[in-house]
Amino acid sequence: MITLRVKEKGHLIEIPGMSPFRTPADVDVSRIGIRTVIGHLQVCGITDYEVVAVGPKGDREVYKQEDFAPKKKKKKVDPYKKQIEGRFDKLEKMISMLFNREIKRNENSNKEQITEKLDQLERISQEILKKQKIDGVVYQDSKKKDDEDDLAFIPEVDTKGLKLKSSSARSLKQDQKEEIDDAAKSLSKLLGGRK
Amino acid sequence: MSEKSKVSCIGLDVGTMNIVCARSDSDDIRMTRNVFLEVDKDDIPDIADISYVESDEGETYVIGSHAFELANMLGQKVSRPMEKGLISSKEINAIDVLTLMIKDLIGETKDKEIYCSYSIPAEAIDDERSITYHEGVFARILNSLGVNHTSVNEAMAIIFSECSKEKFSGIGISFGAGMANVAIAYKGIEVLKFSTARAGDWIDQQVAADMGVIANRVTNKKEKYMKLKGEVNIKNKKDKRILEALFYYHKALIDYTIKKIIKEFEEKVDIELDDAIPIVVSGGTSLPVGFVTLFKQVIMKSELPFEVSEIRRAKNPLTAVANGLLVRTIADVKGMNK
Repeated sequence: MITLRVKEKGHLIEIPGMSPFRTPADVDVSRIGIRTVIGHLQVCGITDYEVVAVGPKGDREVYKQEDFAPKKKKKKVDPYKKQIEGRFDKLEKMISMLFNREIKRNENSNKEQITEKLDQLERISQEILKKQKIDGVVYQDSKKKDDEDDLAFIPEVDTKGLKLKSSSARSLKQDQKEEIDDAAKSLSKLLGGRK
Repeated sequence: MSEKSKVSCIGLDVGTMNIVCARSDSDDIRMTRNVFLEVDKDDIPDIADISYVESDEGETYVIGSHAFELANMLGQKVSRPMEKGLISSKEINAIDVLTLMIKDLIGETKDKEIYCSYSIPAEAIDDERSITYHEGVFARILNSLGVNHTSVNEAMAIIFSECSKEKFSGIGISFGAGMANVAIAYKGIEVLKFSTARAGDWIDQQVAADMGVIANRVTNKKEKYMKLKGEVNIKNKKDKRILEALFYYHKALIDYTIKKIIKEFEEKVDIELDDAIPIVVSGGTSLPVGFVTLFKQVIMKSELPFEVSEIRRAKNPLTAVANGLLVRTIADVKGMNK
């Protein structure tokens, strides 16, 4: 048997298929679809109720309003969109940090700082423009060295004084050549289609 | 030579223990141990038979697996250019020696336009070191070798090489020597990536401390005899104890990594994956027989926030990252030619 127990006072409930009743009340709803009952209670704004189900062997289970509440589904978010949003958030934070500093410090040091930051941004942008862009991926071009005077303080990788007397490399047979080519084709299509 | 054959694509896996290079115009994958040992040349009678680098100042560095073998014989520690997946700050000569080793692996670059994707780890969630310096140093090394390059996450490379039938959706886990790297991808796009500083070296160090031996020796026993199921044919009692300890720490490593995957996914992933996705396990630490079975046993005890279609090992855990990087480079170059 399924019993609906409504504790809130003062409601007149009219569920289709059964006689109207006033609350508080315990009514037998075994013959009515439970979805109809719950839906009707929801429409009436009744939240304080219990549905008591008693099995043929006398086992008793009690359900409350929260048991019937629809479970929240995780939102579907495009991962790419999420990545972009994350990056925008980061940029926003950086800009607001700069603004906060602007308020705190005096005008002169502020000007210097902002000019310095702009110079830095300009340098970074120029560097990016000099890189090769392939289908959204940036490959750093090994031949372009004209901008490197600025980075003279970074030590060169210097192997002139070193000689490799014998190789330490061992070779394995590449047995996935076809798979690699096929995978590269589908990856290229997948990434290309997203442009 | 045609224009097309002038372009070569490379996947370069720069790991803490091994460096592996896959090249589009080669039938071989070349690899070397990422270790060296400074020796006095006069102390090594058979120097001609081993791999070494010599400096103008007379310093001699034995490199690759020979360095490892020699260090084990002499009871010394090898110099590691990298630790915990990143370039080491302890080894001053590491970058120069490493450059020669990479040059040797890459091979001929003359008259070719070379494009290379090299592996980088994700930022670790349990270690404070950043990957910025590491990434910059390898860019510098490849620059000095005349190679156009870009960095690609190591665990994503596993997805590129192993999950093409699932349209590059899956979870790639690289259990390397220095780090465990994890990436979750959906249709080729990175949804989540992170690394932990616990991997093969962590296991070796814990076992070495428990057993009172040097870590090299544990690594050696592990690589020679380690099995995570079935019987191991070994008689020495101390070695048996080492293998027992290795089993416990492998299990602890897997458990730790799975817990971190669940935690990171629950905290950072806001999408619902429609389909069940595969988990691909790779890296040198996943090589012992029974590793995937142990992984499945541990993961079955956890409640996962996503559905798993299959748990499998990469076809070759030692070369999967290099092959995946090669897939990425070829795909990028194809895009360039469109």
